[in-house]
This record gives sequence, structure tokens and C-alpha cells, in this order.
Amino acid sequence: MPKKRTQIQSQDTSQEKIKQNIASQQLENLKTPLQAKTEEETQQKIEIETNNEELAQKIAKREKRQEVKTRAVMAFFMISTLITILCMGHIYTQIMIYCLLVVSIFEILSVTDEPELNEKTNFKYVVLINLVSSQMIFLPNIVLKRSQLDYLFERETIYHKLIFEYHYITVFAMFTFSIIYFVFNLIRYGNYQYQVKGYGISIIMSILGTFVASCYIFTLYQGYYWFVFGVFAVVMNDVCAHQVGRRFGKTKLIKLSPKKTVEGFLGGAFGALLSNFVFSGYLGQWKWLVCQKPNISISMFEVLDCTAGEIFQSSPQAFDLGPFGIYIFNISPVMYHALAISLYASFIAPFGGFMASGFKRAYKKKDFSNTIPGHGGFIDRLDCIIFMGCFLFFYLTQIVYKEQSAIDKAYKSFMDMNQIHQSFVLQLLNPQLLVA
Amino acid sequence: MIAWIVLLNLGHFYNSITTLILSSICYKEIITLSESKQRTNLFGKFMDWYIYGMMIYYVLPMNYLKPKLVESFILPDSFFHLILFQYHSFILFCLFLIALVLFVFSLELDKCQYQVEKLTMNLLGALFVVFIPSFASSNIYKGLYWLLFPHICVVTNDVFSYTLGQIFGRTPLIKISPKKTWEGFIGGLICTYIMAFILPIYLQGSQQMLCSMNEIRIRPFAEVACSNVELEQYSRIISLEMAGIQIHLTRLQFDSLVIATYASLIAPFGGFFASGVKRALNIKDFGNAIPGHGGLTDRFDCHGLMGIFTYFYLNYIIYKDQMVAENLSNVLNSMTNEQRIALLPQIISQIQKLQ
Repeated sequence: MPKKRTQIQSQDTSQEKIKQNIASQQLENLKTPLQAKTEEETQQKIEIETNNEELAQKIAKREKRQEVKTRAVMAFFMISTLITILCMGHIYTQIMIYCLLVVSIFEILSVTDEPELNEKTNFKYVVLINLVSSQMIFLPNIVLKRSQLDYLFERETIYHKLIFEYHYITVFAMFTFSIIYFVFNLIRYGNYQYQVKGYGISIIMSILGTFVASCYIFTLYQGYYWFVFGVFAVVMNDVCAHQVGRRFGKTKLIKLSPKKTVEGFLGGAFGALLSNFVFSGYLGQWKWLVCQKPNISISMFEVLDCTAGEIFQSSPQAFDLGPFGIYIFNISPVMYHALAISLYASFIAPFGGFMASGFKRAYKKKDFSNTIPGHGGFIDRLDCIIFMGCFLFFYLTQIVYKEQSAIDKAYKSFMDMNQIHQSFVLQLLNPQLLVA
Repeated sequence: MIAWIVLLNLGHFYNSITTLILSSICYKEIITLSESKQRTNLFGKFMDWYIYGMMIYYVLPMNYLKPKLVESFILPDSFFHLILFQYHSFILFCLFLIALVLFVFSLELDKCQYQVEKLTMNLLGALFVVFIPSFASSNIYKGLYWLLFPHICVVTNDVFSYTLGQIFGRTPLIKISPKKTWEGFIGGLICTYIMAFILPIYLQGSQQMLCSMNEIRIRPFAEVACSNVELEQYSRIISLEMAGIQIHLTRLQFDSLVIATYASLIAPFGGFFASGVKRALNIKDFGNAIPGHGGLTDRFDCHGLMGIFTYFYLNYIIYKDQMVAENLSNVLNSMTNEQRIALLPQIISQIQKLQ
């Protein structure tokens, strides 16, 4: 029996085998046969187990190192691709955001999905139609300002009418088409439960996902600065929270993500606040990030030059720190906005991550898919950034660029009217100008 | 029947509230449906109604309480004005964030899938049962006719296609609803056209039906009156030539025929969609509110799509100029004086760029 054991678990090197044989022989010489046999067995078991443990530890360490390597390589690759596409131009970043949106929606749906039923019912076309229709809701209004698009389409052409004047009718027609297509899909392929559930999830995910992507594209056109800083704030918060949590983490934060700790959360928030504050001022000096692009063009790697807005101008301000003396820093007003964005990024944006974890746990998966080696699917990378987009959109339109957004809205309504009414409104507005 | 006639005469405001109440009852049916054998705790019920509240808050300034209507009793700087109009999107966003944070904290590991699915189903239900029918209620202020007629169209279509299907029915129409037939479908279409031809003639001169209302009147059974100019636009005659025959239709008849087409051809898809949902959930009816017919959602499933089509037809085709002017005035009213002054050079420069 003992010999069989050594043969079966023969991962050991020859030296250890010899040692085992010597040990077993010595044991045999000392004890009674039965005692000797049992003691042999237990000792060999322990030795084999320790050998296996050591080997397993070695293998685990090697795997971990490889994992960290692939993670780092993929992270570097993703960041460099992002920077290249940012440099290429606004349109290319917009296309990248749309691609990410499509990929992430299909990833979310694949978690709740059963692949055979999806193929049987050709459900992906239903999902695509939903995506495209929901895209139409946001495209002309939130994403692109009317003033940028008006010279792309002439006023009386059918495209102009469909996209701008009769915008909501187009949206309504597309959604009606989506419902009709879905009903015919139901009839043709059956599987009612799967299809109805899938339709519900796909409509909600399409609308929410498209809304988030549109918010990001809107922030793009306000200047790369907000887009870059928003993403950077969330990433910084993640990194700080991870580091602080690793060193000091004790109390658990939430049931859904067992690795997060309260110390990590708060410490990460504090660290991120400081670094974002400093970094925002530094970023604000780069013309490339700050200039708003007034028109849409396909040219690549354009160089932007403009006078930066008021909020980006830095001026030295004195801080009285009491006994520590008076310090003078160069502060631009944008840094205060950066504080608000950083607070949001630390306290509320992580909930996107928690929700993704909850979603994963609900369907008992570890990662959304295996698209990115080392990191799991795209959503694992993008989950914290989701709610940052909505906040940036609201913050920019309501607080930072409030006047400009009101003017854009009025301009849009104005351009929808016909000529007679337009001249009438112009006359109305004129006297006020004269008075001022 | 008498109840409907009384309701119709009560006034625009009460009809609007009726739509709200009916959509709430439909939403309650959907909530009870999405509960399963795992009973929800108190927080789950709170989330259900929180979603409902958010949807209603979103829809309120758009359809139920338009700025033009409440001008007289909500003054520009009062509390309600701030909540409903000026900070509307911001408050909506904050509510959404609160919902998200609370939902994430309430997720329990063993009930995760159930909670997520329940939330999705409630959201979708709120979209179809609260958001879409609210557009039907904003049609009321353009004239009671636009409340009465589209829904009568849908009902006529249902009734006639059912009876004609019983009499003549042979070829089945669609697998989801085995009771519908092609003969019934086409017969219903023809009968709805006939009704759409006759009813406007009868109601052409009626001021109560066709006048639009620009304010909220709480007094019931109030008299509706307006200038003849509005009524005359509906009496304009449109001549069509079809296969050598000249048909003269008044504007009202033409609009009614368009609405009848939609009611017969596309609104039934709302019914098919609801049947598909019922089959997916393995239930026979949405609830027990009406004995013999099932719940309210069964009765009102086609009407939502009809209402939203009427909204788009009214606002974008009949009253387009009015809608655009209203939008612009809303935006201008919410701007400060300096913004208005800054607006003019922008518009002029943009127009010059285009030319």
C-alpha cells in the first residue's frame, strides 16, 4: 500500500523519493509492523502533502506574477490607445465611445443570456434595433449642440427635418418599429419568457447606456479637459482606495464586494481629493485639453489654439494657515469645480462598481466576459465611470457653463420656427438690447 | 356608459386626473405581478413606489402641469415653480442617485437576481404604463375631442373585429392571440373608417369638444367657449382625388381618418405585446379589477400607444407652430435678462454664418 501511494503521487523529485524510502525503512526497524505501517502512512501523507503544498505555492506565485504582468501590460496598452485616440480628434473619440457602448451592452446582456436561445431567436437584431432607436433620442439634443450641426445639414433637406424639426417623431417611429419587430420575433421563434425578459432588459440598458455615452460625448465637446479629468478622478480614487485598503483595511464596507473596506473608501477619498486638486490645476495649463472645438471635422491630429476660458486662468492666491505661515499658490477657479467632481467620484461613482458586482453575483459569475486578458470584460473596467458621465453632464450644464447651455436651448427652439415667427421673435428681443 | 358621459363633461382637469389615477392602478397591477414567491420586504415596496414617484415627477411638467396652464396660480419665484420647472432635471438626477445608492445597499447576496429582475420589470412597467399614457392626458387641453375620439376608435376597432371575427372568421391572424382573425381585422378597419367619417360631421360645430383650454379650471361642468377662428380651421375642406372620384373632407375628418388608420393597424400591437408578456409570465390576466375582463392593464394596453401617437400628430402636424412657440417661450422665461441680451448677437451671427 505505501509503495502504491508513492507511485501515484510521484510528482516528487528522485531525491525526495530516496529520502522517503530511507525514512520508511528506519521507521520499520524501530516499531511493530502494524504501528510502523500506520506511522509510515501518516508520515508519508504529511510529506506528500507538504511537498504538494510547496509546489502549489510555487505555482500560485508564478501565476500571480504572470497575472500582474498581463494586467500591467494590458493597462498600459489601454491607456496608450486612449491617449492616441484622444489626440486624433473629437470624432474619433466619439466613435470609440460608441464602440465601447455597443460592446458593454452586449456584455451585460450576455451575463443574463442563454446563448442557444439567443441564436435560436435571432435576438441580437432586436437588441440592435433598440440600441439604434435609443441612440436617436439623445443624439441631436444632448450630444451635439444645434449650433455645431446646423451647417452640416441644410435647412430644408429631409435629413434636417427628420433629425431636428421632427426629432421626436423619428424617435417615436423607431420605437414603434422596434415593438412591431419584437412582436413578429415573438411569433416566429416562440420562447416567450426568454424573449420578453430579454426585451425588457435590453430596452432599459439601451436607454441608460446611451444616455451615459451621450453625456460623455457632450463633455468631450466642451473641452477634453472635463472628459480627461472626470475619468482621471475616478481612476485616482480607485488606486488610492486600493492602496490604503491594502495597508490599513479592517472593517468591511459592503456585502457585495468583500474586498472593499471603509478605511480604503475614506482614505482613498482623501488621497484622491488632494491629488485631483493639484492635478486639475496642472492639467488646466494645457491648451490641447482646454479649447472647445467649435465645429465638427474629420481631420486627424489637429492642433487646437485658443484663449482659455476664465475659469482656467490661474492667479496667485494667499492661504493663511495660521501658525504655519502664509502660503501663496497658483489657483484657478477650475480647481474648485475639480473638488466637487472629485467628491462625487469618491463617494458616489464607486456605487457603479458595487452595482456591477451585485449584477455579477446575481448571475453567479466572476467576470463579465474574457475580452481583456487579465481584467475581464470591458464593463469591469468601465463600471465606476458610468455614473461620472451623468454627473459631468449635469454639472457642466447647470453650474459651470450655465449661461451657454440656456442660450443653446433657446437657439435650438428658435431655429425650429419658420421665418415669420423668427422675425417676430427677433423684433421682440431687440428692444431689450436697445434698452441695455 | 353614463359614468363616461359625466366624466367627459366634468372638465379638462378632471379627465387629466382620471388618466393619472388609471395609470396608477395599472402600475399597481404590474407591481403585484413582479412579486414572486419570495416576499419582498418593506424596502422592496418602497423601491416600487419610489420608481413610480420618479416617473411621475419626470412627466409632471411635461404633460400634466404644463407651464402655460399653471401660469395663473404658480408664480415665477414660488417654491413649486422652482421644483417643477427650474431645477427639475437637477432634482431628478439627485433622486436617481439616491435610488441607486439605496438600491445597492439593499442588495442581499442570496436574493440578488430576484431584486435585479424585479427592478427591471418595475422600471419597464413604469415606462409603458405611466410614461406613455401621460401623453394621452396632455391631449385633453387641446380639446376634449382629442381625448374622446382616439379611444373610441380603438374600442370600435376591438368590438367590430371581435364580432365580425365571430361571424365570418376563418384565417387566424397571429399566433399570440389565437382569437383574432384576418376577416375581423379588415372588417374592424373598415368599420372604424366609417365611424371616423361620420362622427366628425356630428361634432364639427361643437365648441365644448373642439376648443382648446389654456388654463386649469377646477370648477366642474364649466362652460367651454372659444373664438370661431379655432373652429374654422377644422372646417377647412380638403379635396382628394382617388380613382377619378373626388372626395371632399373637412380637416377634422381627415385628421380623424389618419387616427383611425393608426388605431386599426398599429395600436393592436400594444395588445399583442401585452399578450406576449402574459404568456411569458404564464398568467391569464393582469389582475382582477374588472370582473369578467381581467385587470385594468388589459383594458388600457392599446390606449397608451394611441395616446402617444395622437400627441405627436397634434403637436407636430396640426399645432406645430404653437408647440415651437411654447417651447421657445418656456426657455426664454427661464433665462435671466442678461442671458436674453446675450442671445441675440449669437442668433444673428449664426444666421449670418449659414447665409
